[in-house]
Amino acid sequence: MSSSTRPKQFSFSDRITAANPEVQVMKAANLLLIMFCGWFFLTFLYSGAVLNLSLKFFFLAILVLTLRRWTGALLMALLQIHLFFLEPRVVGSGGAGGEVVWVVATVLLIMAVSRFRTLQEKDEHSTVRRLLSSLNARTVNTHERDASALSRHSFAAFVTVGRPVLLLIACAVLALDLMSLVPPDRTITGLNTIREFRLRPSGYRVIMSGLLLFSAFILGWLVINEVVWRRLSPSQAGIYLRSVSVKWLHRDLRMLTKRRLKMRRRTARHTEHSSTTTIPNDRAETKHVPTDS
Amino acid sequence: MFLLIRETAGWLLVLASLYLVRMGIGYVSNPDEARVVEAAVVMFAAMGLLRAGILLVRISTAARICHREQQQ
Repeated sequence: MSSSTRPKQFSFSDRITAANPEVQVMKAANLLLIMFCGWFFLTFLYSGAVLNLSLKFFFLAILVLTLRRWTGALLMALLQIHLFFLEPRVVGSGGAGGEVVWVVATVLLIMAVSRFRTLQEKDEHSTVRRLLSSLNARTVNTHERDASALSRHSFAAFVTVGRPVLLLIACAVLALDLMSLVPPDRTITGLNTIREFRLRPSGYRVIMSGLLLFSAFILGWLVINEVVWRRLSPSQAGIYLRSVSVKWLHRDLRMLTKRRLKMRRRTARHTEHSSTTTIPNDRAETKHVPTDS
Repeated sequence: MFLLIRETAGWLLVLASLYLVRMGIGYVSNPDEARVVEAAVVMFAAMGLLRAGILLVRISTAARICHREQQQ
């Protein structure tokens, strides 16, 4: 096959067949989660909101249809904007407890979607996946595996599973604290700010807490970024300088390079998918390959 | 020397952006006169300044690392 027809060897059907079943299950679970998010938002987010129907569907489309692309932080910002516009609404029958459940469920859903997306991107490097492959290889070639490697993988899998759970709990607690800063209808001074300030009090508090959090984030990010950036190796610094130079001086060249890199990454991804589906056979075959070289 | 000037300019831009962030917070910190639109405009300008300043600092740092490597 010539090099010009090389990208055509990965058609859509080949991609589907070459993909790992575990990845397919994860994608299906992600799709189900996104559908559940859509139903959840449609049911609870607009309860009692005085908003045009087209605007409701517009915001819902932004929230749901882009869940596969955007990260959790941006979704959290979108939900804050929702709260800013939809705060003077009829409180549900659940009262304050219902609001708490809403906050916790929203944060959990967003974190789960974000985690699924991360796992989809890095499923080849997942330690859980490595544990499963090591277990599989242990059943096939028991004499080639030792118990220490299995225990090491088990600990790594425990850390991999436990870290997102801790992250979920921390984010839920943080979101609860943040939401408690937003009063239902009054400010700290107890004044009616809707009439006096021509601004909804909860929206005002959201803006204030958002700005304060943002300024704190900028300061922390500056310090961490500078500390990390000064540890660059000379080769990494050279790569960065060349990339900035190309970005500033040769936009067309940068566009071509990015397109080539994109195609190369896609090809590599397909190759990895097809190779991981045939790992046991490859290992079995490599045992009989002569090692003269 | 040129790298030092560039890094100093970058840090000055970062400081200016932080000052603008503080100004934006000041616009909305007074509940009697919460000027949200002005604060949004100032924060947008602060983000541009911060981005430019960080870029200058990063470039000068990378250039200094490369220069040090070449001298060795």
